[in-house]
Amino acid sequence: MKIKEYVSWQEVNKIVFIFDERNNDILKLEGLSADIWKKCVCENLSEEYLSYIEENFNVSRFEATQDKNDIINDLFTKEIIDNE
Amino acid sequence: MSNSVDISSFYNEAFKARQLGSLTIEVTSSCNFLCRHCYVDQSSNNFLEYETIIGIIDEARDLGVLDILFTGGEILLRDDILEIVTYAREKHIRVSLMSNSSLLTEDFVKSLSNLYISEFSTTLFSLDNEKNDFITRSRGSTHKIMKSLELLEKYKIPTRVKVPLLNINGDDYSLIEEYCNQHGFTCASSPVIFPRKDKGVEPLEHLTTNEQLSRIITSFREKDNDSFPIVFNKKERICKSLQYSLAIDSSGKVFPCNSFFYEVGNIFNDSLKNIWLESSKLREVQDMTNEQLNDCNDCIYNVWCSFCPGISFGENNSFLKCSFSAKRIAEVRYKCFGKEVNV
Repeated sequence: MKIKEYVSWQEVNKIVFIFDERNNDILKLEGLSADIWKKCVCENLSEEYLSYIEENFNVSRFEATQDKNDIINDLFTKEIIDNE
Repeated sequence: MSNSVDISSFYNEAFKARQLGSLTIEVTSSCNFLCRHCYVDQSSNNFLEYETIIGIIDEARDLGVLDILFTGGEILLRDDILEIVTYAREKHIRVSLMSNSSLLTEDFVKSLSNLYISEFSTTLFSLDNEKNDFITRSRGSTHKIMKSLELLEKYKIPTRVKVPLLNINGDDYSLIEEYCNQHGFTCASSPVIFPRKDKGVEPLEHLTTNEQLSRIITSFREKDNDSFPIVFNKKERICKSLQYSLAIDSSGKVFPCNSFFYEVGNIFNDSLKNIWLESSKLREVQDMTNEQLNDCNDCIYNVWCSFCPGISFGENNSFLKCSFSAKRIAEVRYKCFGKEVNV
């Protein structure tokens, strides 16, 4: 997974803070969203993330996909999104 | 994305978790300017090796660092500074740079614009070339800095112009502020001068006069850039940022912050993680509360004072004693505004 070059991020207290340096904007992710981000970024997951989320958070595949898409927005490179 | 979140929410969480969130790395102590007020020991000529800096960045990322400030000396004296910044940005760490900007080139600034750094800070003392040259001890310094500022504006690099206020330029900040407003730069002026890192007091010879200080403090207040009086709470920690910051100098020494030269470790003897988690000296300064400030507890100026343990350490070799320069500013605040506020 490759994050866009203008993104900065760090986790603290299980909260993920994502900084869009290009637009000077900040996103705060908690719970499921934070976990999805970390799975995508740190463990290089693309397909496995859905089953991971289903197993760990008791949500449907549809909900998980929607949530991930919300997070990703334009923060990941386009080819990664296409690869899904 | 949400607009309601700001960077302080990250640091509030880092404070609660005691997580290292902010790191300053002095990549060299060498500088092509010899500024009269500078806290760096200007006879030193240290450079951290590239591999050492990369190792620090890796460790910092794992420890939870969000922001790294690369400072000097003059960072642009390193041929590899762009590679270092690129590496930190590839790790998705926020990067700020502190430079005198005199060595900036268009190619460098153009490359920087693709790295999305958070801030480029530079110092400008006066728009008067003679004054600027006198303080920097470098001929043509104003012209060089202004040319660099044009490049930073052209490539839309977020830029902060710092204006250390000395007795030489104490009345010049309004013009610089006006210039910054016209060009979209942040302007940060301050009359606070730090003793030299090796405890030399020469920088303090250039403190503003009392009359200049009154004008500066009054001007800050008129611009809502002054939040005094504060509440002096004995149970509060003396400095909140010590809970989430560290600084490493170009000889590997680790300090609680870039203005507090009390050595708490050395990266050539220990890992950053061990220093952050295990240093008893670091824990000592992190745990300090206002109650330990015996000189301040009964001082009538304490609610007007921006006490800094780092400055106190530089002035007194003790971080719990009254800071002469902080008290001086507090006295001026009290004299100027004490009557209008019922404290």
